[in-house]
Amino acid sequence: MSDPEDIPADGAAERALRLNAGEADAALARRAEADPAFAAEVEAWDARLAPLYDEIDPVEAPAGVWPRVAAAIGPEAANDNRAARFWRGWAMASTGLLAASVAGLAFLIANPRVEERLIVSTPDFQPVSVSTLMSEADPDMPVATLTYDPQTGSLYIAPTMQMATPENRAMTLWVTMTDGSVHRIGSIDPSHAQTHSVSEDMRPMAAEAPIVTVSLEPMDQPDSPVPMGPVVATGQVRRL
Amino acid sequence: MAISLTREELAEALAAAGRGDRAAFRRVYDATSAKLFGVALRILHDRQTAEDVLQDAYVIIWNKAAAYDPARASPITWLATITRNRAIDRLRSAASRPTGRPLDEAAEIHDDTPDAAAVLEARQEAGRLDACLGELEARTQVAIRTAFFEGETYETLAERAGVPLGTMKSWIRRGLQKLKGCLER
Repeated sequence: MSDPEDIPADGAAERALRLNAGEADAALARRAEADPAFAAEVEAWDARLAPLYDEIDPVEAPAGVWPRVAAAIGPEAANDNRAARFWRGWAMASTGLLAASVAGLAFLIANPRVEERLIVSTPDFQPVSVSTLMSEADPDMPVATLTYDPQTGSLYIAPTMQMATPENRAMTLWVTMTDGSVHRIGSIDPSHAQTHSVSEDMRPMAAEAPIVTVSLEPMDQPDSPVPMGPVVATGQVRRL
Repeated sequence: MAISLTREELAEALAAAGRGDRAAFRRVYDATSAKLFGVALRILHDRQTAEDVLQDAYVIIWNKAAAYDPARASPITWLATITRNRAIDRLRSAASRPTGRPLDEAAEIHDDTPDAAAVLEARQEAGRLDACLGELEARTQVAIRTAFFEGETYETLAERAGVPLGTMKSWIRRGLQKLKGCLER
């Protein structure tokens, strides 16, 4: 048996084939990012191995994928600002202004890792629930933060990622209860932060729901009791 | 709604998508989504996860389209590589994985499919890669193909073949050296 140390590793081939696990693979990926010559070697291996893709038969993609891709990639070209597409600057600087505009509600930037320390409270602050909605396309990407004040029925939603709504679709907010039942809260506008008043009959459910989702609903079925379109974002609700 | 584009048309559509042209991006999607879904499914063996990865891959493609250089890679190779890498990322990030089949069994499964049988036949006649892979020892060929199609690592390939890690590294590294030499001849 040969000692593998006798045979030098071809890092580019190993990265192209993804032969290493964990940190070793990640280190090769970082090297490809930083070193164009190495990146070119990886691409050369990608090209050498590419004929293997011919052995994979095409499979028609599910119809729901494109609307979700279209929603995730942002606005139409006329308004396209790709640099601003993902994060729209809901950072510390805007916290005060927005909190002032929705007195009584918690506001936080849409990053669950730091939300704990950024909650704005007031002396008469009432318990609220909060959810960071994560993109279905990328579970690590927050797309909006939602807070709810059960005392007033005020629901505040702040998009953190600009999401385009495909033609003839309405971005719609739903709550899922512990028994699995789903209830429509209403349409939302993904282009800006906004406050909604939850209808009286929905307030108890909005207060208790453990999960919120956003889906793209057909315009011609505005009163469907369950989501008909693809879900584009989901969030767990936390009580504060 | 698959549409057919030539390599040049696809490269042009991708370049236009890189400039923010969503209609061009839709053409890229229509022409390639079936192939890329096939790639994701081949690695993940689960439709729902493959669907998620496909969506993810196209968002990455949209964001990277401006960096695509047709002089460096064919468009379909570039797109398939992004999808395969994303599928492997998802496979490896999964909390639990299906139990791996023994390597020999996996090889047999490949060979039992009509597609693989056709490929075996074609391997003798067409394609430099197939010819060069055919020059490798069978066990090395199986390991390289399994790494490509299933996203397996040195470690998992060694486990599946029931050989020490060092042995598997030797097989593959030597195989890759030979493969490169053969393809450059």
